[in-house]
Amino acid sequence: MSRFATLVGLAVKSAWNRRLTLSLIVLSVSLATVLLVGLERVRGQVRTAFVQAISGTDLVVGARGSQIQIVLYAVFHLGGATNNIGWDSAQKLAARPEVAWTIPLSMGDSHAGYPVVATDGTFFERFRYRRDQALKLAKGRAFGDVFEVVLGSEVAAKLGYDLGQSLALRHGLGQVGPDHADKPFEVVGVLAPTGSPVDRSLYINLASMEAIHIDWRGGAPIRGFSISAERARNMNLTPKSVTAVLVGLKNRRDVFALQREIQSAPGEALSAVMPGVALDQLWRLLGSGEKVLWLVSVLVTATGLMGLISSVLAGLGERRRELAILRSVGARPFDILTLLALESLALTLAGVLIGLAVLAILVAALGPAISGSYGLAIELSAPTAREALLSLAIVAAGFLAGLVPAVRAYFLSLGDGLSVTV
Amino acid sequence: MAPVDPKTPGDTPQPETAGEAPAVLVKDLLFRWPKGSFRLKVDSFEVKAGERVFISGPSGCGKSTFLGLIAGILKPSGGRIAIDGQNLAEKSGPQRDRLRGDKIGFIFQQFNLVPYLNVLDNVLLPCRFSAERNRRAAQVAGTAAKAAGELIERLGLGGDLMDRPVSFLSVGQQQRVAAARALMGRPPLLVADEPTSALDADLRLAFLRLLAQECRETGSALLFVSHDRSLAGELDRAVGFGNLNAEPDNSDSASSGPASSDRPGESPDQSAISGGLVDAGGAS
Repeated sequence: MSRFATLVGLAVKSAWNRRLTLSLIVLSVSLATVLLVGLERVRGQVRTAFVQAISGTDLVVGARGSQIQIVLYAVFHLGGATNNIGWDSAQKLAARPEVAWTIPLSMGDSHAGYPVVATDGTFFERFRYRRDQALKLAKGRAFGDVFEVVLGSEVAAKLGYDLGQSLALRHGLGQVGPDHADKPFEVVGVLAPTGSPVDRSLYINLASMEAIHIDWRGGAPIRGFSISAERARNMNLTPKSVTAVLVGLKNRRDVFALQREIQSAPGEALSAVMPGVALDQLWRLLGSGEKVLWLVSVLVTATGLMGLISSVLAGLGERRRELAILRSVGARPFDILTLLALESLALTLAGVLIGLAVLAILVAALGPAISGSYGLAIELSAPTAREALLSLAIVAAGFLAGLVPAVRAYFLSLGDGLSVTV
Repeated sequence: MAPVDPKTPGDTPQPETAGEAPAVLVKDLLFRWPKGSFRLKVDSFEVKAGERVFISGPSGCGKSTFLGLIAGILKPSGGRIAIDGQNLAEKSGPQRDRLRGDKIGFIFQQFNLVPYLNVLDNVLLPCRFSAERNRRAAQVAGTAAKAAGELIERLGLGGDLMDRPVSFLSVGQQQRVAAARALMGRPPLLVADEPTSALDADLRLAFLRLLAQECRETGSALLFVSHDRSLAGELDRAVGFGNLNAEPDNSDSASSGPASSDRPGESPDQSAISGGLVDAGGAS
């Protein structure tokens, strides 16, 4: 048996012998691992959910404005657009040879604080989120007729709406303001959770949007004049404008050229945004919260490792006799150092492995619930490269921490020799 | 009185090869602690191969320092100290550690055993650190583990004790395990530092006899350190450490210097050999 194998064997047996004392250390290391790696996994998922709130869309086109603003209203349905796009511009865009499909979006109304998005049937076919996931209906069907609404999963769950529910839309995005109670909508479908802004939106068709505003002018109902829902249904409901258009290309290579062309084209002033780039920018802006969480987890890990140092150091006094025995059978002081370092390494390794196991159990137990209610794909999977790296970093930090008592033991055994006077 | 021992060190050239080289050979050994005034000086001391020597002396006389030098834990400031023909004074720290593992078996006063290893693993420990002892143990019995088993059996610890954690053993049993470990792989030298002082009086003699007998079996020299001089007669010769240390400024040892000649009648060899050492000391 090689000397190193001997030392490994001794370290493991020694640690096992003091397992009661050391189990607390292992516990705190595994807690730190659960926190750090768990946070990393959730963070990764949240970031993915955010950055891939929209996928498969090559360009988001809106009225001339900043790209963050366009992404905010077109993807997250937050805030309003300063200007709309004329319906003819949207049509022209859709007719371009390099464009495969377009999804027109018209916003501005809400229900119970949730944004209402008017679009057309292409939305259900073409819209993608998170690495090319298509929308699925949990129940019911897509809207067909006017005054039909499809709910995002969170809207349905929070408000307790089911198919057949009748609801009124409110004009504007606020909780108060004039509403469209005269033209109630019927819930015909509920979407499955996506973990994207889709969950928090209501979808109607463009004609419905036109219909509810048919007797409105300048953001208010025309006084003393109203058109009933039944009459509106039969009027010309072609939209005059939309808020934004999602564009899918036949060939992704055209994206830069088309973007340039849209932005410099004469006529209506438009902006075209590549959503991935803009979302990345936005995440960097908003992501500072995760840094605080990250810092806390790192501190928890540091605390765990300091516990490791202090308890191994404290145990050293009782072990001087044992170390002297090892010296007497030919162990070098460096062997003693190795032994102690290996022990800390074994402790950290055990802690990290237990932590990963606990995390796997947690994920297996809670993942489906999280997936169901938040649309985050928290599921049992092999650690990602980052998670593996993080686990290795904890082990490495544990090894470095273990060098403190190991070096102390080295000098103790150098001084003690074979006779310990304690 | 020096001529009584014809093999007084210094008279004969010292072979560097193992085999018939003296187990311990000390010549003009000088040691100074880096700080403090304690000095150790041994002009001449020898334990022949297979010889069993009793060393007595009060505490504080430098015994521990001397054993530290023999063990290679401490490096002499001057002179020569050879274990099985290998001069420790010329060797580096790791070389001395290796030499200790290869050549010397140790038994301490108590707490001799590694608490988290069972009896067998404790006894096998020297073979884990020293390839030489592993090889020698395997030569006899086939494998080191077999050799350990036989040794444990011979020391009356066989059967179900073998796989027990050592904390289950009585102090007497623990010392026998320690003896088995020290004897593993038949090292040229066994150093027993007060191994009986934690034992009951009636066990002490039995332990020493067992140890002496096993050393005869394995051919190991024995350096048995104890303040209990009633045991001195059991071995080939006895030495008073106070006489060994020739450094006059250690007042403790000076006052108890003649200790070894207290009961000269106990062993016929005793006074003569320790006298020789006195002579060696006096020559400085």
